[in-house]
Amino acid sequence: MKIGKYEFKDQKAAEAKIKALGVDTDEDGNEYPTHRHAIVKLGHIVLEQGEYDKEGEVIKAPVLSDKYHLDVMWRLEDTVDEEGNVIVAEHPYGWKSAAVGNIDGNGVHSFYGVNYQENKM
Amino acid sequence: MAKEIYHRSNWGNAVNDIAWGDTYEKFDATNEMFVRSDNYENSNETDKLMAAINPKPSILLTPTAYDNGSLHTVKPVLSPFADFDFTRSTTATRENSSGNIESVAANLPRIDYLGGTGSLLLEPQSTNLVPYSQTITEFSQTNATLFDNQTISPDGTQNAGGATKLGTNSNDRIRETISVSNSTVYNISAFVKNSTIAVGGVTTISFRVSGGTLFRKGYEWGASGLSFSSSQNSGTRTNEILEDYGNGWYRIGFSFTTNGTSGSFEIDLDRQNGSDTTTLFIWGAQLEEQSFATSYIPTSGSTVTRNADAANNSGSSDLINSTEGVLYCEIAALANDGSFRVITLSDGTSNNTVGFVYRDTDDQFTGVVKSNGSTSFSQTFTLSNITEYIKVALSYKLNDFKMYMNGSQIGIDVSGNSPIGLNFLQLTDANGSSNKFTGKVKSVAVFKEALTDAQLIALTT
Repeated sequence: MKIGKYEFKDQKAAEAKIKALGVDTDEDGNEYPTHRHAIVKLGHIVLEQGEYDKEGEVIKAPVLSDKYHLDVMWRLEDTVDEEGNVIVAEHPYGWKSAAVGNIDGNGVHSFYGVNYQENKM
Repeated sequence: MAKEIYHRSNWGNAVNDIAWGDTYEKFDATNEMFVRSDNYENSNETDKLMAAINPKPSILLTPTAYDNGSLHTVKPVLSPFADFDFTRSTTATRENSSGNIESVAANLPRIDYLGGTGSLLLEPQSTNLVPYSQTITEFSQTNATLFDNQTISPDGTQNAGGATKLGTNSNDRIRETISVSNSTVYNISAFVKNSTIAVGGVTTISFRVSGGTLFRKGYEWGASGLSFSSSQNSGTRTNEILEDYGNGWYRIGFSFTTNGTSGSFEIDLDRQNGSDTTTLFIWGAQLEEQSFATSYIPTSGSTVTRNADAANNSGSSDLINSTEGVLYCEIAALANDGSFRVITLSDGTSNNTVGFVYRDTDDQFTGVVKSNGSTSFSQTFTLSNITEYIKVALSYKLNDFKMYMNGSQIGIDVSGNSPIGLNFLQLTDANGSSNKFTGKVKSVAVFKEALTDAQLIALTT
């Protein structure tokens, strides 16, 4: 299992990339993923917290990322080749360019009980 | 040492004077299921019921025993077993048999005891958007003093905090602003315990959408506990909960549809007695994009996701008879959530299936048999409460289809073909991926022969 953190220019681009991982349609007409990766749509994450009054009304709006963010727990593992070399699991095709760079700790989101730094791609 | 339950190797051959389903300590156990299972729990009355039924099923899940990545069936007794593959790639929580919320490691099934008896808990993926779910001093406050780690929480450790009113007015509260998606269904929940609030006091849980609706539900403290309040309610709410977790703790909350992109998670300590300076213990705050409250997901500085549970790939053609048989389940849904939730016998395709479906329409439940792509039997029944357990059986045989629920016949068809090539039992659609069953499971059983009306009544009563 590997974890990747990604940012896309907008939700449409992110949804297209998710769909490309594989979907099918059941007999009721509902689409379902044919992959087994876990995808969390974080959306436009908060970069700077807003300020609010006692009734929760906005005094200063939060600063949101202009990118659309996803966290993905990939069902991928590092492997070992015939010479004993570790082959590190890679981002699926087309995802690497959207990968977020260095992040401290787990970032703004984590998978329960899974350390991002120990499992990042 | 785990406890052994008297079944599996002795199924159908009760020579021991201990009753079916009773639990006893057996430190030198040779029972195969006990020996090969890392985890073994008593699923209570279910196997007693199943033991009283003749003929015996070929596959029986109660559930009782499990390992990393596997959910063991009680029957068959001998290898090859019909164990389910189980996946959930993250930790999750459950209420254990002692009544405490505890974490369960990734890829271990959860037998959950909320409500008293154990059942397999299968949930969808969900994310807790409250970044500090049990560190109350990380919340903002309005006229309240916040504190942490003052009392025993529902997880059995002293990590529950809370807040004390300054007595300014009824708006004394804790609050936390959270970004959400517009026009989206969310569920808000938290655990609360009364410290010094007077009888008649009303605690509320709310999500105040910035520039939008205040969604709020009131709960009244009485001499013997907490109850829904008819006052202090606001906004359109669904799936309201009031769950007793023991030791004075209650989980409260509801679902709502946002009309803005941010809002405030709020707990008003006592709106009934504004000038009181009383205290409420608070723990386990949760906001999730769900139409109902799922099991608690702890957070400590970030949002956290619990992955979905999935159990599939049980069965074989030796254990499932395509010509005739019965699929039986004792199950409950978690809520009306607008999704299909399916349990199937199949040949791995949707062409040949025997299945049960909680439907996307509220309270509707269907039993269906398909043979070579054609529907041989289909019966949809409206449940009075989808979250209550049902005992349901579907008997299939050429020109002889019957469906029983809770002791009554709810469907019959005297024409139709039997399915062909059944070899999978899955808590999903036939494809093993879509329409995962989410809910609570006390029993799933497969019989290799069609049962009589009397047997079906006994089985489902």
